[in-house]
Amino acid sequence: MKLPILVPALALLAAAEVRAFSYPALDTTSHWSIQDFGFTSQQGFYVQGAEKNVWIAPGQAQARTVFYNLAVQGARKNGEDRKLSGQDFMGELQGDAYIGKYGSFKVDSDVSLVIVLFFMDDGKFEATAYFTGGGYSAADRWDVVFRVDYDLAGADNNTAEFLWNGGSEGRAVSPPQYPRGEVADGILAYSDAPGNGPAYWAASAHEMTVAYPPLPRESGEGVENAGFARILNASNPQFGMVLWGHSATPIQATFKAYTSNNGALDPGADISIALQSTGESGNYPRYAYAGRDQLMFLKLNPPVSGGTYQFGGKLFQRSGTRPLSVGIHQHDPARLDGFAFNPDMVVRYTDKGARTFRKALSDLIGSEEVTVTQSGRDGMPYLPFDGYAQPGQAVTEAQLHNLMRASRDRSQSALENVREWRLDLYLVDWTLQGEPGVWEAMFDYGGADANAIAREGAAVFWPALAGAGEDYQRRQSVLSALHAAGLAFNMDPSWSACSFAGYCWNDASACGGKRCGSACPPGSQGCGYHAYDCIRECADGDVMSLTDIERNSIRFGDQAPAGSGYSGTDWYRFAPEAWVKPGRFGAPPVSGPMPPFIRN
Amino acid sequence: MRIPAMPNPASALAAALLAFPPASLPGQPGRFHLAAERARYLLGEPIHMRIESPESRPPSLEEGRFLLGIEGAGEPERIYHPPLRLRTAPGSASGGKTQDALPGEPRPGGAPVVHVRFARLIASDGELLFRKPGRYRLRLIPAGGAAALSDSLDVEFREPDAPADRKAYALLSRNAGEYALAVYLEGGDQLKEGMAIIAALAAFESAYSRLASFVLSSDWSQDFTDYGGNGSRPMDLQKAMAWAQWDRGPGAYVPLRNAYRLKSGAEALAAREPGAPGLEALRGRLAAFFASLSPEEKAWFRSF
Repeated sequence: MKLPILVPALALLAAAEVRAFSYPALDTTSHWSIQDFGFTSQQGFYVQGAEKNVWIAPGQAQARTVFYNLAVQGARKNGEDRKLSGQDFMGELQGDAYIGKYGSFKVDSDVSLVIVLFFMDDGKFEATAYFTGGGYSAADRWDVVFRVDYDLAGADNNTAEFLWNGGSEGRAVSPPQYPRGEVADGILAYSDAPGNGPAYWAASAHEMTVAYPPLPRESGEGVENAGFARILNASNPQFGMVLWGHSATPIQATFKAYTSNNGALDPGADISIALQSTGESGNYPRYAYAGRDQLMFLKLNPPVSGGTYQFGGKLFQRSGTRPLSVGIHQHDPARLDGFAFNPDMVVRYTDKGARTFRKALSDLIGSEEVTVTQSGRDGMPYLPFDGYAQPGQAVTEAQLHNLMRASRDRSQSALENVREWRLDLYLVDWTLQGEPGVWEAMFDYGGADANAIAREGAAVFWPALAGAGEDYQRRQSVLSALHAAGLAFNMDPSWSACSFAGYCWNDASACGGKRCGSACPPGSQGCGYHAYDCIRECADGDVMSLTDIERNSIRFGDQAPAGSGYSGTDWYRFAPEAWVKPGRFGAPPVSGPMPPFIRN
Repeated sequence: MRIPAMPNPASALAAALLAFPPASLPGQPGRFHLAAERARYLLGEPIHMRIESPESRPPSLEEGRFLLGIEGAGEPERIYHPPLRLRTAPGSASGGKTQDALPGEPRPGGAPVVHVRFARLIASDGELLFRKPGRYRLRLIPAGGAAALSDSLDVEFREPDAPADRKAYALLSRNAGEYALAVYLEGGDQLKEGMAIIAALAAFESAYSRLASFVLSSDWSQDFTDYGGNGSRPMDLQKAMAWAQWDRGPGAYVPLRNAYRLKSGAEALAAREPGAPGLEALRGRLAAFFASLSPEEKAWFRSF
């Protein structure tokens, strides 16, 4: 239970320039505010009531609690508790873009633990600790334990999600649920590679413990920082934080129900206590959709090569939608018959008006929060040929993956952009090796996904679109790019609202000049297999189900496909992030019918 | 990986015959026919499955326009998840091109028209697709779960018996997932462990060495950038030729695909280095190979 006095106070702040995206939005122009910090023998070194401003409307900001309490109660020496027993010094510091709290505390005979907590204006926070004193010996195993009572926007109902992908030990898509047999294996901690990291088990519906090896920020070279867990406000899911490790510090995280915290320095998880509600379906990762008041213990193990213990993280503000940032990478327009991809080019007029790449994605998301960057603008260069494949030649999935990693924005700000979902699309003057007729491919998973971070990129093969005229090729490249984006969002082409067609053949008297049936009649012309894209779709074919741009609505499906209760747009907006989001927390794609899910 | 003991082949066959009714007959209008080169495979071998249609070229499984259901080895039907997802042009993949003969009718002076799409079934979800010995039944189904779109293909997977095969299987089991992906992609520099296993399998004679040699040939037929996306590793025609497999006796897919990979690689090489050593020899070898193909095999080659 939280004390009433610590309920975050509403603070109406002076108007300031805010980015044009929807509210609420994290205020990155002001410092964090800390209600209290200090040292007691009971709490150790603590920071109480760490708050951050959030814009809720132009000129209006509210201070929202992030950490009700963040404390270091002590350390563990060779597995035994060493609570902080007294302070050497404490202080605070402040810079242009940060505030900090620090202190040095006795933990053993002639051993002190120095702790520095940074809170940056952009939402980041970092914790650093190291031991000093003549009694300290690296031969002893010293763990530093942080207790984090997160209280996102004053919510008692939080959930935790973990990075748990194909690289996890145990090779499961999810942490196993107790009391499944996998628990007995005891090797189900996250690891960046099989065999790395400490062995641990996890049970996501219950109080849980997970362990992580040291993860450099650029680990895996994904589109975002190497986060290991996300904490979300489940009752009002507009606020969350990503936690990321440090390249030298292994971390064991224990998530506990607030009410079952017994004050122990390093408590274990209790599998009899339900911490959050989870859902699952088939081979998709389990996801959390509701939680309870919880807190987390982070046990930082000795850094691999000694030195400081570190972890960090960043807040992100979730608007009502899932903001998207798409990078369009292309070869020089001179290689693409003068075509420079234009996200605002009208590719077709439909009953919904002028349809463009940006409009289709905005409709999918349900807001205008689509950011498109592209080669030739914003400092993004055109794609190279050297080292990959010659113009017009075949390129492999592996080359595309390498190209993606080499051309991606890996600046600090880009890596720490945890608010937007990010995706890289490639418009290339190549064909796909082995499949020269392919128009687009989502190459970034399976064998080509060398960094095991799924669905970050897809490609459109310009030469394969040729043959029907320059105008058609340009417009088709937009539809192909949208379809490729849909594949990266884990949408399946079979999610069509249309009936199963089988074969379609030319018939001028039929809808769209096509007629369909279960088999080609003798003498029919132009007869070919069309799974879902025939009669109905001549009027309303959507991005995922219909290839022909002349009859495509240039919209993602807003009707539930056969056997599903949700549409493609529902999928993007409400399905578990672990299923839909491209990148580090996303799952590899699973083909087939849309799995049922609980709206998130 | 723990593999259950192999059941008695005779009893397994009898049980399978009782469990599975006979497959549907091919050629039924509006349905696809599934075929494979063999009925029995060793664990760790791929099925190069043919999806055939008299009407038009079938879509690939990677397009997701229909699904492959796999039932067997004591487990309920599950959906195959190909490691690559793509979309093809309507004319080249999903049909749509005007046919030069009516469905089921013979080409003028030639064999009946059968359109083919190969599927390489070995990898799924980062693992081997067929991980347990036993009989499996494969069929195409629409996403909505309606009636099957194809007849059924029955295959059996068993554990290797011969010492060399057991050694090979032990090797690939060290990282079966990467091995499977390397076979699926028919090469891949980024799959370091997978390609190391492939190289090891190609180094001694076993039931897996022909496939492994083909994958090496295919791999060396392609240019690659290195893992970090910096340097490049160009194709090596000599190595590609040295590992090439031309014998169609054990099955046509491997030599046909090998020739396709060599042809593609050679064309890329010729574009930047017309006089590259070995190009003429390869052209001659390919010409002789193509001349030996049956019309059916030529159609299969054109399906790549």
